[in-house]
Amino acid sequence: MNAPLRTDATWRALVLGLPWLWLLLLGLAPLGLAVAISFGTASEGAPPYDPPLAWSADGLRVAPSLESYALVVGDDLYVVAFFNSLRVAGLATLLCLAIGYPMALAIARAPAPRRPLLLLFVMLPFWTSFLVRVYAWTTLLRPTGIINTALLAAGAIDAPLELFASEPAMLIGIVYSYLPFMVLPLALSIERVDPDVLAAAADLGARPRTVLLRILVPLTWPGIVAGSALVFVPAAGEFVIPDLLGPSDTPMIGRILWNEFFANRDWPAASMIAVLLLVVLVLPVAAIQRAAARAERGVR
Amino acid sequence: MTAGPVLRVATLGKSFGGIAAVDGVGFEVEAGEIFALLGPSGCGKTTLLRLIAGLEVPDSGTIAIDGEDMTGVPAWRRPVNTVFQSYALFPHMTVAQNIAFGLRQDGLARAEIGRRVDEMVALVQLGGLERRRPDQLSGGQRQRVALARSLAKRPKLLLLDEPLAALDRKLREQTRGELVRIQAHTGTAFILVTHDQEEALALARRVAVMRAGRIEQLGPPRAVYDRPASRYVADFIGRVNLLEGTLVDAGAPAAVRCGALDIVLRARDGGGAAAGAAVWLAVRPEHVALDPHGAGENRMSGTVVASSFLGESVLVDVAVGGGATIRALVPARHAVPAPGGAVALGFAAAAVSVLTR
Amino acid sequence: MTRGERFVLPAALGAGYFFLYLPLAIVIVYSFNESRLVTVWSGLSARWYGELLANDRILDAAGLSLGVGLCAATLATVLGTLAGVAMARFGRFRARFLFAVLLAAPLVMPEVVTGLTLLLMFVTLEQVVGWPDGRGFATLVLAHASFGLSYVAVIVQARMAMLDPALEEAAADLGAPPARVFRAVTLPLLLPAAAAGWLLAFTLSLDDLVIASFTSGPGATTLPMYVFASVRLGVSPQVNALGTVLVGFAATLGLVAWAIWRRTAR
Repeated sequence: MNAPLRTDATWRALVLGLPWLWLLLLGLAPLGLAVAISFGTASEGAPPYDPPLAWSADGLRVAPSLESYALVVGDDLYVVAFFNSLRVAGLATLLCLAIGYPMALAIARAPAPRRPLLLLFVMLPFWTSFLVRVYAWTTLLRPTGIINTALLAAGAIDAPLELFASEPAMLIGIVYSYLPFMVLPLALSIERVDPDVLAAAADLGARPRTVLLRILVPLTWPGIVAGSALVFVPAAGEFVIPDLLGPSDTPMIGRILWNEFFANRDWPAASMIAVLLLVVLVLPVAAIQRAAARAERGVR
Repeated sequence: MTAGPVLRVATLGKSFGGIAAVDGVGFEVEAGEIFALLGPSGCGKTTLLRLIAGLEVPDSGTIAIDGEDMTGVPAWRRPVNTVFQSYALFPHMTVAQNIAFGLRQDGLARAEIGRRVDEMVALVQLGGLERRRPDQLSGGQRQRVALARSLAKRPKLLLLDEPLAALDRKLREQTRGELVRIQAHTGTAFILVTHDQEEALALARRVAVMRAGRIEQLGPPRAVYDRPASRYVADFIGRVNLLEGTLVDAGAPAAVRCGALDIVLRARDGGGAAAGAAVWLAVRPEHVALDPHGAGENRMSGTVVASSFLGESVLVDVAVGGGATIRALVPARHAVPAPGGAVALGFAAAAVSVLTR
Repeated sequence: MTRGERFVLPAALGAGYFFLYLPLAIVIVYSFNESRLVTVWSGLSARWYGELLANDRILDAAGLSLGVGLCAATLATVLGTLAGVAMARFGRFRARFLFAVLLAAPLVMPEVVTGLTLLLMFVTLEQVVGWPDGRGFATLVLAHASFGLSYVAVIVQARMAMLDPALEEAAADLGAPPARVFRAVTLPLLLPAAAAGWLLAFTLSLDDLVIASFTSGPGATTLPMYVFASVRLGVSPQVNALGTVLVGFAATLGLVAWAIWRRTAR
C-alpha cells in the first residue's frame, strides 16, 4: 500500500465526496430499489407496480407481496432458465479458458517489446461494436448464411445445416464476445510469474505438463478466477446473444428478465429475477474473487 | 562411473538477435571441483550456464555430461540442477515441498522423499522452517532452500548463478564458507557464475574469466591473478598498474622501454613477444613499495597525488612523470608522505608481467 | 524453452486471432457487395454506404448516440478519475470495501440487471423529486456515465499505481497544498490515462444496447437500438455497411487510446 498522500480533510472529502454520492445514488440505491420492488405487485398504473411500502391518505401502508417470488415456485420456467444460463455460461467460461490460456501464455512469453501489440490485437475487438460482432455470426451461421452457402456450393451437404438459433451458435457467440475478458487478466497474471520459477521446475525434472499444472496454474489462479468471473457473470445474464443466436425453445434468464419487463410489463417479476441473479451470481463470485486476491497477497 | 570430466563443453555458440552471447566456448569441469565463470554483466556467463542446464538451445557446439551427449536433451531430463540468481523458489509451496519437488518428479517413494528432505534440511541447517513459505524466510534462508532443493536430487553437477549476489556483505562471507562445506560434504561439482572476483578467487579451484562470450583465461585463481593473460584480465581481477612500452629484450628477466617514462623497466619474462613488439606492463599495487622500503630492480621517484585509507592498507597514487601515475598499496602501519610530498618507489621484476593484448 | 513454447503456443495465438477477426472481416467485405442478397457476391460497390447517409432514422439515432456518448464520457471521466485517485492514494478510508465493490460492480454485473435497476431508480426519483422528467437524453447520459466511470477508475487507478508517490510527496514537501499538488503534479501525469478512459467510456456508450433499452424513453432511439431492431428483422447489406462504419470508428478510437496509453506507460 502506498503511503497516504499528505492531505487535509477537506481535500479528501472533495475527491471522495462526488464519487461516493454518485455510487450511492446510482449504484447502491438502485439495487435496494430492485429488492424493494421485487416484493411489490404488478398493476395497471404508471409505473406499472404497487410498491410494498407507501404513504397514502390513511398513513403508511406496508404490504410486502411474495407474488413475484411465488412465480418461481409455481412455474419451473424460471428455474429451468436459471440452470440453462448457468450451464451455458459455465461451458462458455471453460471454452474461453481453453482457448484463452494458450493465447495468454503465448503473449506473456513473447519478447517484452512485442507484448503490448499482441495484447492490443486481443483487446481491439472488445472496443469494436459488440452488436456488430454478434451480428457477424448471424451472417455466417444462418441457413442462407456464408457457411451453409459455401458448403452447399461445394456439394459437401445437400441441405443447410441447422447452425443458427442453436445452443452451439449461442455458445460460439458468447465465447467470441467474452474471450478478450479472459485473455487480458490471464496474460497479465502469467506475465507476473518469474520465468526462472518455471525454468527451476524444468531444471528439477518436471515435464512441461507438470510445470503447467503444478506451477503455472496455481501461480496464475487469481488471473484464472478474475477472467472466469469477467466471462461467467455477464454471460449468465446475457440477453443479446441468446436473443440473436440462441434457440427459441431454450429459456435463458436474461431473456426472461427482458421479456418480463418489456413484453409483460411485470416490473416486480423482472426485479425479482434481477435480485436472484445478484444473489446467485454476483455475490458468490465477488466472494471467490476476494478470496483469490487474498490468497495472492498471501503468496507474495 | 566414468573417470572422465563431469562436464565437457566444446565450441559452444549462442546468439540472440544476431549478437553472440556465447561464442565458441570450450572447457571441462572435473568431478568434485568448484569451477567459477567470472565476468562482468553481459559477458555471456549466465547464458553459458543456461545452455548447460538445458534452458537455452545452443546454435552450435556440444555439451556432454559424464561423457554423455546432452546437446538435444531438454532441461527436465538433464542430470544437472541449478540455483537461480533470484532463487526461483515456488511461492505457493512450503520449504519442504520446494525441496521435495525434484524428488517427486523422479517418482521416488514417499518415505524416501521424506528422508531425503530431512537430510537436506539438516545439511543446510533449516530445521524447524520446513512448513514456512518462501515469503516468510530471510534472504539467506531462501538461498539455502534453493541450494537444498537443487542438491536433493544428488546431481553430478550443480550450477549456481550469482548465488551470493542477493545477500549483504557480512552474510555473503559467512555463506561462502557454508558453500565450501556443503560442496565438500556432497562431492558435487559446482559451476559458479559470478561477477565478483573476490568470490571466484576465494571459492573456486579453477576460474574462467569471460569477455564478450569467450573465455579470456582459464586457470587456478593464483595463476590468473599473478599471471594475467591480457590487460582485460589484469584489470578485471584486482587492481593493476598498466604501462605501455616496447619490448627491447625478450629474455628472463625481460627489458621494456616504457615510452611515457623514458626508462627501461625489467619484467619477469617477455610474455611470448619478440623484441621490438609493442607490449603492456602489468604490476599489482601491492607489489609496489614506497621509500624507504623501495626495493627491487625497478626504481623511480615521483610525487604523491592522493592517498586513500582502506583500513588495513593505504592506496597511494604517485605521479612519476610523463603523465603516468603508479598506484601503490602499502600496509597502513607504514608512514605515507602527504599529497605533494616527494617519494621513491620500486618493484621487483618478478612482479611485472608483459602483456601482448 | 520447450518445443511447445516455440511452435504450439504461437499457433494457438494465431488461431485465436483468426477466430477473433474473421467474422468482422466478413462483415466488412460484404458491406462493399453490390448485391441485395447478403451471401451472393455480385461486385464491388459503395451503394449501401450511400443509403446510410440517406436514412434519416439512422442519422437521428447516430446524432443521439454521439451526444449521449460525449456527455456521458465526460461525466464518467471526471468522476472516474476522482474515484481512481482515491482508490490508489487514500489508503484505508472509511467503507473502502463498499466503495470498491460499487465501483467494480458495473464491470461484472449482467447488463440486464444494471439497466433495470437504473431504470427503477430514475422512475422513483421522478416520483419523489420530479426529476428526471421522463426518460431520454438525460437518463441515458446518467446511465452510461454510471458504468463508464467504473472503466475510467480502473484505468486511472492502474496508472496511479505506476506513479511514484514520492512525486506527490516531493511537491507537498516543496510547499504545495493538496489541491495544488493534484493540479500541478497528479493531474498532468494522469491526463493520458484519463484521456484513454474517456475514449473507452465514449466507445462503450456508443456500443451499449441493453442498458440504453431500459433507460431510454419513447422517441429516443440510440444507434445500437436501431441496429438491434434491424438485425432482428434479418441480415441486410445496409446493416453490414453500418456495422463496418461502427467497427471502423470504434477501432480508430481504440487505437488512439492505445497510442496515448503506450506513450506514457513507458
